[in-house]
Parts: sequence; C-alpha cells; structure tokens
Amino acid sequence: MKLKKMLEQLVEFFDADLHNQRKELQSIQKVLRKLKQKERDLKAELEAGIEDADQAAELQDKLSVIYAQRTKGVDLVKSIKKELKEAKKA
Amino acid sequence: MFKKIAFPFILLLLAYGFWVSPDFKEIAAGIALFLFGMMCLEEGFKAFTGGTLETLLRKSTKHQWQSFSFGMVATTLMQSSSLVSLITISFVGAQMITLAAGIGIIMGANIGTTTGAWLIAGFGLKVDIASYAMPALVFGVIFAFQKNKAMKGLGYVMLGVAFLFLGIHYMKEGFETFQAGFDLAAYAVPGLLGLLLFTFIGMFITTVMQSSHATLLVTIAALATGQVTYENALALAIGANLGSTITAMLGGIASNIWGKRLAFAHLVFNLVTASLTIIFINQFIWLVDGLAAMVGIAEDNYLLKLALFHTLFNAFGVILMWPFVGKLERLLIERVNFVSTSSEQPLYLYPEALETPSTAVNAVRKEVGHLFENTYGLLAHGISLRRAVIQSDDSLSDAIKYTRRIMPLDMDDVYENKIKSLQNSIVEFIGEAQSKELTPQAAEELYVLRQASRDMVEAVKDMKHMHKNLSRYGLSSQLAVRERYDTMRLQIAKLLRELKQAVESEGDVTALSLDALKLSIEKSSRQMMDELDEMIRTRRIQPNIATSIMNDEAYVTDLSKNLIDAVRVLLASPTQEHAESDVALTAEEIEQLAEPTEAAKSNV
Repeated sequence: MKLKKMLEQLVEFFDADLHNQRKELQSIQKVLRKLKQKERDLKAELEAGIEDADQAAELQDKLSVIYAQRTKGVDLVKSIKKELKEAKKA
Repeated sequence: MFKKIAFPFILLLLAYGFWVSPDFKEIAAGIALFLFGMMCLEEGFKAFTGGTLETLLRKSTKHQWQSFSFGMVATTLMQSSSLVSLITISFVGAQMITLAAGIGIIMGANIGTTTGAWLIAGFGLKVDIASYAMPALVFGVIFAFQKNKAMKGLGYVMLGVAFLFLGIHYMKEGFETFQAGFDLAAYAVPGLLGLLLFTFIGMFITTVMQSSHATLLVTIAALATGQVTYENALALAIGANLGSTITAMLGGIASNIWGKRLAFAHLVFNLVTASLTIIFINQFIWLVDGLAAMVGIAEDNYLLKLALFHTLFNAFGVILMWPFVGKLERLLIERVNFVSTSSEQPLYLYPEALETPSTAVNAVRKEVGHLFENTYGLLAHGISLRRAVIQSDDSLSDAIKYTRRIMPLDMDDVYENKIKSLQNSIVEFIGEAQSKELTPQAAEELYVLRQASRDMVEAVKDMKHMHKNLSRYGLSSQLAVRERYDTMRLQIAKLLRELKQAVESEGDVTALSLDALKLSIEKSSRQMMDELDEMIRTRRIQPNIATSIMNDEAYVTDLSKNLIDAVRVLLASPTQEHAESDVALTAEEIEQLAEPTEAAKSNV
C-alpha cells in the first residue's frame, strides 16, 4: 500500500498537468475553508440578533453570496477530483 | 479679481463718455456694430466647420506654401485672423496637422488680415457703405431663419457683412462730427516715444476689443478725419498686430501642449515682425512712399498708404521667418514643455523598479493603489461628502440627508490632473516594462493592473456624467427627486466605505467579499427602477426628470461595477488569485441571487 501511494506521488510529481490540477484543488479547498469560517461568523452574528433591519438584510445577502460561492467551489472540487481519478486510471 | 473691477469700471467709463459726448456715442456704437458683425461672420463660418473646413484644412497643409495660402485665403474670406488662429490651434492641439503647418497658416493669416485694411480704406470710407448694408441685412435675416444649416450659416455671413458695413458707416460719421469739436491730432506724439506709445495703445485697444480689424477700422477712420497723424497711425497698426497674438495666447492656454506651442510661435512671429518694423520704421515709410508712387496711390492718400504699410510689414515678417519655420518648430518642441504644477505625479514608478519583473509589478500595483486613493477622493467629492465622514463610523444616511449644499467640482480639471495624468504614467511605465524580458506571470499581472487603472478612469467618467444632474437636482425642493438622488449618493458612499475598508484591511478581506457588494448594487438598482416606475405611473415625477434619474442610476451602477472590478485586482492574493476567480460569482449568478425569492414574492 505504501509502495502504491509512493508510486502515485512519483507519477504526480513528474506529470506537470496532474501537478497543476492538484495545486488548483488545494487552492480551492483552502478558499472554501476560509469561506466556511466566514459563513459561521456571519451566522453567529445574525443569530446574536440585529436590531437594524437593513443591516440584517445586508448580512443575509452576504450569507447568500458565500453560500453560492461555496456551492460553486464544491462543484469545482468534485469535477477536478473526477478528472484526477480518470487521469490516474489512464 | 482684476476682471471683477475692470468690467464695471469700463461700463462706467463708457456711460460717462456717452453722457458727455454724443459723437463718442456714435463712434462706440459703430465699433459695437462692427464687432457684432464679426461675431455673426464667425457664427456663419462655423456652420461650415465640422466637415468642409476641416477637410480643406487637412488637404491644404501638406507643404508650407499650401498652409500659407490656406491661412491667407481663409482669413481674407472670413475677415477674422482670430477665428483662423483658434481653429488652427485646435487642429495642432489634436495633432491633425503638424506644428510647422500651423505656423504656415498663422503667417498666411497675418497677410490675409491686411485685406481688411484695403477694404476699409479703399472702399469702406469712400462710398455710402450703409446703403450696401441694408439689402445684406434683410437677406441675411431671411436666410438665418432657415432650418438648413448651410442656409443659416450663409444668413449669418450676410448679417455679419451688413453689420460690418453699418459699423464702418457709424464710425465714419462719428469721427467726422467729433473732429469739429475736438482735435486729437493736437495730442500727437512725434518720434520714437510716439511710435512706442501708439504701438502700445494699438495693442491695448486690440486686446480689449479682441479684434485687430476693429482697431484698424478705428485707426483708418481717425486718420481719415485727421484725428491721428500718419506716423501715429502706422504705430497703431503695428500695435494691432501685436494685440492679435493675445487672442491666440488665450486659445493656447485652453489647449494642450501642441496648441500652446503654436500660440508661442504666433507670439514669436508677431513680436519679431513688430520689433524689426519699429527699428526700421523710417526705411518702411520710405518703401511705402516708393511703392505707393509706383502703383499710383496719391502722396496724400494716407489711408491707402496705411493699408500698404500694413501689408508690407506683415509680408516682411513672412519673408524673414519663412526659411526658419522648421527650426522654430524644433526649438518649440524642445523648449516649450509645460508640466502643470497641479498634475498628480506618480509616487512609485521609478526607473530602478524596471530592473526585475517582480519589482516592476510591485511598483505598478502600488501606483494603481495611489490611483485608487485619488479616485476615491474625487468620487467622495462628487457626492458632496468629505472623506472623513465616509471613513468614520458615522451614519452615512444622516450625512446625506442633512447635506446643505452640493460641493462645486471642476470635474474636467480634477480628472485631467489627478486621474488621467496618473493613468498616463502607469500606462507608460507598463509599456517600458513590457519592452524588457518579463515572465508570463508578470506580463499577465501588468495587463490586469492596467485594466484596473482603466476601470477606475471609467468610474470617474461615470461620475462626471452623473454630477451634472446631481448639481441640478441633488437638493431639489421636490422630495421625490431629492430622495432618488440621495439614494444614489448613499449607494456610492456605502460602496466607497466598504472598498476603503477592504483595501486597508491588509489581507483579511479577500476579493470574494466584493461579490456581496455587487449583489447589493444589483438589488439597489432593481429597487430604484421599480420605485421610479411606480412614481411615473402615479405622476409623482415628471417624465423628463424620471429619464434623467434613470440615466444617472445607470451611471451609478456602472461606476460601482467598474470600481469593484478595479479593487478586486488590488485585493487579489498572488497565491490564490486563480482559485478566488474560479469561485467568484459571474454577473449572471449575481442577477439570479438578486431575483426576489418565492417567499418574498408571496409576501408582496
């Protein structure tokens, strides 16, 4: 198992396309983690209660945007992982 | 300040003159009619600009003699060297003709302007010129009332000629009766002192009336009635030539560096001509006497001799300067370089920064940040809020609600000196960086930063358009109108606050957070249009103001989007730029989010 994993990593190292895809995947995952944290912070702020209706609406909009961005990011991650799997099989 | 004092003073002086002397009234009226005639002529010929004149100008200036001929013929027909000079300055300013061609036209214009003296001296004062004016006046009015642009223009030309003739008539009459009561010739100053004094007087009169033709007319009319001596009249003619350069200088001030160079050329040419004429005045007088005898002008016909002198000294100037036009052009390009002291200078674009691609990119990034600061300042001023208010935690709604005055703003001036000047420097620097070896990543970053600077300039241009109506309606007494403009101002103020905070957050805020701003703008835009529709339906607002608001709302939306796109570039993290741009929402996705939800619709 260890040998298999080592060989997979060696293949990735020498294959530039695979390497770039992995890097892209890691970057997007990092961004998604930041977005998740931000979403939690905003939800907490909203649950704490905001008197100003406009401010509350603004926060809600920000949450909608982050949710949409995370959905888009997750779909991207899925498609990159699928491509990586197919590349490894090949 | 000087203008504020001088203007009422001149009016008082004129009023006193009219009260004291009815002859002075007639002379002044004659000058006024003459000047009005010139205005009508200019107006008439302008109808043929925007096409005919410009095409002719471009085709006629390939060689120096062609430029000269064009200047001479155009000025003879239009009887206004000022109009020809100003058109030439604008063409040189736009670099549609070369500086050398412009100098050629100015030289030709100087000769063309002498035909005015011949017309007045040879014809104007000898016949009953007013009788020629009447039919021209009648036909001119008929043509001027036509809708067709060319016929209207022709009408104004005829009116111009009519008023010119009437002006000459009244001046002649005025001087003739003036002579009976007052002999100005008793105050003639002989010798060099007289020459210099009357040259200065001629220059002063031309500067005040902004017309060398009018000064020549006064001179010829005064000479005809013996109010000035022949020698003093020659000096007045020299002064009139010098005074005409003031118009050109004023036109040059309003133009760019090329226009300024041509205005300088005009000044140099006239100054050299005038100086040499004054130095060799006796030789000129001798030459005029000789030539006059040759062409059959009587020895005591001082009017025609004055016209001949006017032509001769201008021709002398042209012959003298003709071989040096190329050199003058080169000298002006080398020496005349105005850098507006109020132009913003770049802070980070040093030549040393071009050494490596990364230092070049870093310098440009910082400079684009500097451009953002200036853009931010201009936009804050544009919505009549101080920067301190936007950057504080104070309520923006209150600040806008309690605005008492719309801050005056010379948008063109600030745009040129604070925004465009910086953009020019950034683009120039990027051009230099691109001429060196760059990594693909650096080239891409520079391209994106140049685009960001362009987005900021677009945002400023949107404010420029919007500010016109904001100044008009921003504090409207109609509450509905005032509220709409307050909403627009608030939207921009909130945006500026958020963007400033984002830029100053030093990495805590990512470019992705700007998507929320775009959503807010989209929602505000939809809400504004819905409210506007409602107000038009219920007639709470006039349609003309409604369309202004609609257009301004579009400028606000455009401004906001351009500014967000620009700041997105500044906030982009070099390591995560691609990932962030992959996850960022597109315009369509933002529009989808802005659509009201089913729950919200059912609540309505």
